[in-house]
Amino acid sequence: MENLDLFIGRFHPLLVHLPIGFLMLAFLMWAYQVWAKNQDYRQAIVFALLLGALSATAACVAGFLLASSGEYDTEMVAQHQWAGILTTTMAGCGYAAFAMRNRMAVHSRLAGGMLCAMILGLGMTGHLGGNLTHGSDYLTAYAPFGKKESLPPAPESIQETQLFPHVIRPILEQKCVSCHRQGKLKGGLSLESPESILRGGESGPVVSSPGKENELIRRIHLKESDEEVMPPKGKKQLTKEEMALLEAWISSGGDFSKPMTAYADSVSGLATGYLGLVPSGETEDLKVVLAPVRPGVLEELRGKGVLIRELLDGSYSYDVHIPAAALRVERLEDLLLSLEPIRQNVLWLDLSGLGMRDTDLAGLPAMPNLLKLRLERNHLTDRGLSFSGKFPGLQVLNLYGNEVTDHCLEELGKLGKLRRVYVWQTRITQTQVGEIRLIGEG
Amino acid sequence: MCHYDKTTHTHPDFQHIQKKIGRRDFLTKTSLGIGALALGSLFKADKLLAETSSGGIAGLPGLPHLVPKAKRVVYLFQSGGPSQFETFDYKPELAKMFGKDLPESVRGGQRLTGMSANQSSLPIAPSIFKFQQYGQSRAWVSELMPYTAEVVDELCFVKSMHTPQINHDPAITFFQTGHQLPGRPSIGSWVSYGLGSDNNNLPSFIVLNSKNAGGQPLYARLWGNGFLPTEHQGVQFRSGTDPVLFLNNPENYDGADRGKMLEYLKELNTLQYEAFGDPEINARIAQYEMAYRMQSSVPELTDMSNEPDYIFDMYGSDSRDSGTYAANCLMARRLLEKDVKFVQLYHRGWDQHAYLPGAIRTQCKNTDQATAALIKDLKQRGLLEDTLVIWGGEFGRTVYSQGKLTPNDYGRDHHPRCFTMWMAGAGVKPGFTYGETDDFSYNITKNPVSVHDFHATLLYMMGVDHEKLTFKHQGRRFRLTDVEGHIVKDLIA
Repeated sequence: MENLDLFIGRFHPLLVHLPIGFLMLAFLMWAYQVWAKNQDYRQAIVFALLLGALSATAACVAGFLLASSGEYDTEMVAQHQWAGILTTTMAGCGYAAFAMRNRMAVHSRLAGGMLCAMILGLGMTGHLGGNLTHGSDYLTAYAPFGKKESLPPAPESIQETQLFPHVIRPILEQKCVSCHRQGKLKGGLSLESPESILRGGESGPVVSSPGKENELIRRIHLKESDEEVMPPKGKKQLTKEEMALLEAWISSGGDFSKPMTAYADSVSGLATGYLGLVPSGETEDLKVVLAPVRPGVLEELRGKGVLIRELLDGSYSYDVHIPAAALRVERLEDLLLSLEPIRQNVLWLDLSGLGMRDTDLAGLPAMPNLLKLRLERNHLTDRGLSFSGKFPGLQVLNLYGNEVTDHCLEELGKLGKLRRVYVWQTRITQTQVGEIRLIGEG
Repeated sequence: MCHYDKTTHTHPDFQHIQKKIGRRDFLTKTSLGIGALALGSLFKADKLLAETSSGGIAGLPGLPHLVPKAKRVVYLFQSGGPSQFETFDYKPELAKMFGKDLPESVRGGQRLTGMSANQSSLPIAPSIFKFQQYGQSRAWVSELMPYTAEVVDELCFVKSMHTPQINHDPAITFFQTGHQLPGRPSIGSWVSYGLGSDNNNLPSFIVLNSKNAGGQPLYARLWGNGFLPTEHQGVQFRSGTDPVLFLNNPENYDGADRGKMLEYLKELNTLQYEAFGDPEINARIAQYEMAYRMQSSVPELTDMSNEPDYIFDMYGSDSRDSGTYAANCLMARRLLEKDVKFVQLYHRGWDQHAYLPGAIRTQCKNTDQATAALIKDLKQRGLLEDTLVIWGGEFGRTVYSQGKLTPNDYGRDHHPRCFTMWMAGAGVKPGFTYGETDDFSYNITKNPVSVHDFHATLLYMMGVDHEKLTFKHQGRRFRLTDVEGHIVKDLIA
């Protein structure tokens, strides 16, 4: 039974609530008695004070045993301990004063003063105890007053991300720091700051040994039912993603300031997912950050029969298709013009089979981010294709079934990013222009 | 036809339902809100339908998870288990081993089917067909597929597919639904459920089954919606003049007031939905309306008069005979052109346990030209840019002959350990071969791809993270890939 002291000590958080209740009740009864004047609760007060003093004593003993485990900051424990002992003493004296008032003519003011002091002590002890368990900023962290520690701004892209401040630190703060911090120091370890992480804990430094021998890595990977698992049984466990990120950070040396770009792709991929950023592998088509579209614009366009599909949820980039059926409701000219409010956001555009002529296409707003344009099965001629300035980013163009000839190729050659042009059933005869592949014989 | 006042619901049907609602409302409120709780879980499904716009049917909020590479898929399912030996997996070493017993070291104690397990020997049967390399990619293709050989530079071969299933039904069910037992939603249903539809006038998941092939049966549950809302089940188009059953108006009915009737029916059904909260009622409403729109969109589709002769010639003479594989390939192109999201073809008859050389020759003849034509046709129209084409069966075939082996004839049993599939178009590497098998095409030696991996990759191409597209049913969330599946990034361009 070598750990009997600790076993009893851990009843402290349970026991402390008894004196809080009893002593508070005694104080309230006394206060009501003073206020209402004609009530006499003395017997009840004496009884509550007796229970309070006894349970406070028990809580003190358990608390002392718990503190001897050494898992807490000694200075803060000392303050809490003396406040607790003082409160217990006050409770005992209060009991004596009320119990003996008749016999020894103790002044009722003295007895009352003792109760007031006791309740102040109780509040102080409770507050200090709370600070020990939850951290000294727990109570005020979300208060509408006071100065807050400013967090680093959330990164917008993975390139701007730093692994420690943006990813690792938030994980530690959410899942570890409530116990491993200044004041509580479970296992002698604080994960609050780079300095304390470097210092390490009883089992040694955090970041020294990479791989499975590392104590932190070993314990976060234990089964939740395991005695030694971290975070402990019942606390919110790390997700697989978080485990992998912590492991990657430690095994790469546990640096505090290196940018994300200094890490392997697998790590930045994980971080991308963790931060909910657009995966970098997927951004190749979506490098531009697009401004949100004005509310109501998409609904209005859809109401006209225009098909609009977001290419990636939340990216404000769109795949837009004007189906021939929409022409029954509105003129082509107006439909094309109505794309003006989203022209920056259109990445793919399908205008096939609309009977479009050169003059119609001229009314299409410039779309700087357009990547794929489908113009097949229309009546366009070479003159209509003078749009290199309007769609500078165009990569794929479908012209099949139009009346275009080889003459338009010079103009298309100005589109520096153009890679594939579909030219079946046109009068184009070539198969390659610079880097542009012309697909399908004319 | 029906005279009723929309605002006061004076029609007796409405009054009857409203009375029922009153009673039901009372019961709901007195049963500690349990009914209300149940309804709460249904609101999501309700909202899904509410987002329907005139231009298309929205998918789930939050999708796509990734920028899609493919907007549409056409899956040419070769049912029965096409032999890899006679098509794409060239094994020249086998010629030297004609008739020798399959070494135990290769078979590794694998259990065989009851059809060949009792054979006294397992004689190695090299393919009698010649192979040649084609295109810039120098891919090996057998002489049975001269047309496919012309398009190899568009194809991305996976020679290392494997499945745990050795018999047709569980293997096909696994391929189509991600699980070997019946009851899960088909791939097309998941895609429809997640991504919605780009064409309001046609179902987003359409099924075509060749009439010119026999063999193991196929059943509607392979394109069923499982536990997903019913409107996501595949709609089968049949051959002939009446491709969708029960779509035409009955004889002597001109259909003039059909729209009005459906509107009235919708109101009735909506009241019913409000009373009972069964999402299947919404599915029913959606299906009635879809069928109504299909009354005009389907005849337009099946009217082939606007297809020029050279297109028919490209797909082969069969393509003029509605319901053949070639005609279905042509129909698939027409559906894809109309932005149908998932077109599922089936061609049966690849199950050659005996007389394989003759039978596979016919199979290839019936499919090769049209398959290649579909690739070429999609390409010239620019549709291959964002359409994914998939070719493959449910498993491969054995290196040894089932039954008697002669220099000119042999059969092959089912073989789940390795087989070849190919994909083409949006998102996949063209002219690329992935995975390798041993000299017997019996075991995979490099880069195995499971059916779950295939599903994960397919969804990835469509912009769906296979781990995120889930549906809660009977107390747990289901995915197409269930708890498995890795995206095969090496296949992605």
